[in-house]
Amino acid sequence: MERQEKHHLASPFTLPQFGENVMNNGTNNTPGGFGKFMDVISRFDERLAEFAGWIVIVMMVTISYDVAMRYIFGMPTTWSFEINRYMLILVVFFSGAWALPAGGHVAVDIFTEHMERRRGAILEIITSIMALLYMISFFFESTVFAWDAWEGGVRSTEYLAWPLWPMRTFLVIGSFFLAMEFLFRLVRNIAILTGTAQTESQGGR
Amino acid sequence: MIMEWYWILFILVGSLCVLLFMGLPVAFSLGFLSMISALVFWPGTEGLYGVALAGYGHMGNYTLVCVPLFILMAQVVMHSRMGADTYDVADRFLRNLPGGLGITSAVFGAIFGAVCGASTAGTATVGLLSLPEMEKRKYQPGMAGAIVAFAGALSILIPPSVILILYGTLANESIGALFAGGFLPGILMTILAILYIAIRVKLNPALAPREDVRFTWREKFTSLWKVWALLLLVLLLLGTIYTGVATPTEASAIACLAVFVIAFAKRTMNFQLLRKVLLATVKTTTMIGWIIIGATSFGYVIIYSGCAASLTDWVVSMDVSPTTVVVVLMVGFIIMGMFLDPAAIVMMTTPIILPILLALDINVLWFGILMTINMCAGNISPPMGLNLYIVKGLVPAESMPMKALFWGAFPFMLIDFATIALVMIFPAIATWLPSLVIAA
Repeated sequence: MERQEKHHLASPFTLPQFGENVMNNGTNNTPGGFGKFMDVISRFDERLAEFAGWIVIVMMVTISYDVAMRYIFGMPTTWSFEINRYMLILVVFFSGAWALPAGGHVAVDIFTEHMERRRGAILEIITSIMALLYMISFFFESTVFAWDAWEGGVRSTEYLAWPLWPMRTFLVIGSFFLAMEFLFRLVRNIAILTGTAQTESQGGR
Repeated sequence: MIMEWYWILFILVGSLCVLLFMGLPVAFSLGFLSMISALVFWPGTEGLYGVALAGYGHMGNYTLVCVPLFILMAQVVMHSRMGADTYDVADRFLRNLPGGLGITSAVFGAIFGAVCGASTAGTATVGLLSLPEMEKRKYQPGMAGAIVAFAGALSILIPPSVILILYGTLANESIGALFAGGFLPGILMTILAILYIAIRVKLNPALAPREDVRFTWREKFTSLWKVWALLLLVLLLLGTIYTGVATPTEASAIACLAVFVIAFAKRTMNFQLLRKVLLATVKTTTMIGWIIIGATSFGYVIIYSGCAASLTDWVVSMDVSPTTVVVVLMVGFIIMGMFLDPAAIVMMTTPIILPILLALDINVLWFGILMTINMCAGNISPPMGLNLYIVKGLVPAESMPMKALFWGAFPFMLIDFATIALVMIFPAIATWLPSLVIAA
């Protein structure tokens, strides 16, 4: 619960959020060891997102450094252009999973907003399965993509000529944890449907 | 091809609507639909690879690196005193006008738009500063909220703008030229809003009770020094871009660094806040990033299924004037704006529309500006105007009923539409400044 409150602080405004009724319940309603597992992964997702945040700072500093080197010493860096693009990919993929329970991924909630609890849970089960399938496919394809780079020793065709497998692994990591978050959403909604979730903590809904 | 292209397009768009209304986030609706299409259009699972990884290619675009940096900058400015100081100055100059606080908010939104590229941060900043004031002066809540939502939307039209960056990377248009193009329409829109507020309040003073506080000219001008920080930022950001010293991405990094230095010097930034700011930044960045991934996959499907080319051929063969096409597209954007996030609309539609624009010889820059003005309207149009929800989230629920906010926003949508019409009739409003930039 505390974690969720922090998220609200993170942005001073509340956006229409996908699955807010689940959020109000938090993760601790799911019984047994899986609930604990969900908590651990979710906390890890937040760490990943925070790490991505620091990477944005690194982007800011390296690009500024590059401009300064160019204008003051007349020798721009050889690496800034390339690694900043890699860092952007890292930022997007490392924070995607955390953003889901935090309400970062915008959705049209005009019909789901005032839906009756059980019906809302059914709909979220359906959409979570869809998203989960997509993420599994994404995970699989990006694993192939990263594996090709590892095995074939694929390198960037630019100045640095770095091996590309680490960058492609960002996609694998990102889609894996996002798939997990969708799985958790699925589990939580099934818990609501089967009544394992406590109903008193329902909040305003 | 077994099926006619228009049926494919119809089924794709129809299914997308169903997925979206079921509440699946925009990015994953696009991704899931692309995945299914890949299984249908390509033999076996062959298509999945290309569809899943289409977005990775687009994300390697260096220009997109400025997206998180502009968002970070807006977040830091939002939490620093820079906004409050500038608001205070605008207030001293404008408060005595009819609806003075409302006009202050609109003007402040426009000024703040020059350092902010995302409407969410813009709306939150304007709202946090002006809503309590307007409430204290007993402004009609719906009108007050709508002014804030409108003023916040100016952030995506007045440079810098994340929406224009996304459009520029897709349409291969210079970001600097696009930024220049948004400038005059943004000012025009602000002026129209000022006129509307002033006239409306003159006719019905109860909407916005008049102030009797008067600032002397001395008080007004001595307050001006307080805007130095914001002014410095604007100069640093736009100055470096237009003198050719830095690319937009480099300018965003430098300005972002400058904001941090100012915020730390003014002691408005600390570690705790920095953590919040960073999380808010990656939250928006990943949202846009995943929309890019989903929309690129969707675009990939639309293009490789032959829909985009057939649609272009069809539009060209109809022999209608380019103006008609633009009008139809604008109406389409207005409808989409009611339900969808601007970033998603731009990412989804640009790959489909671009071939049509090129085939009909429509100015791509001009169209991008029209589209962005349209997105400003989309940000404040019910039932899904994002800015309206942000405004609602800033105040206690009972003090601002959603219905009042919707009604309040309606005239501002008309102002946005009027701006679209004016820029359509006088394209120079959007193209004149960019032509100077390109010439220089």
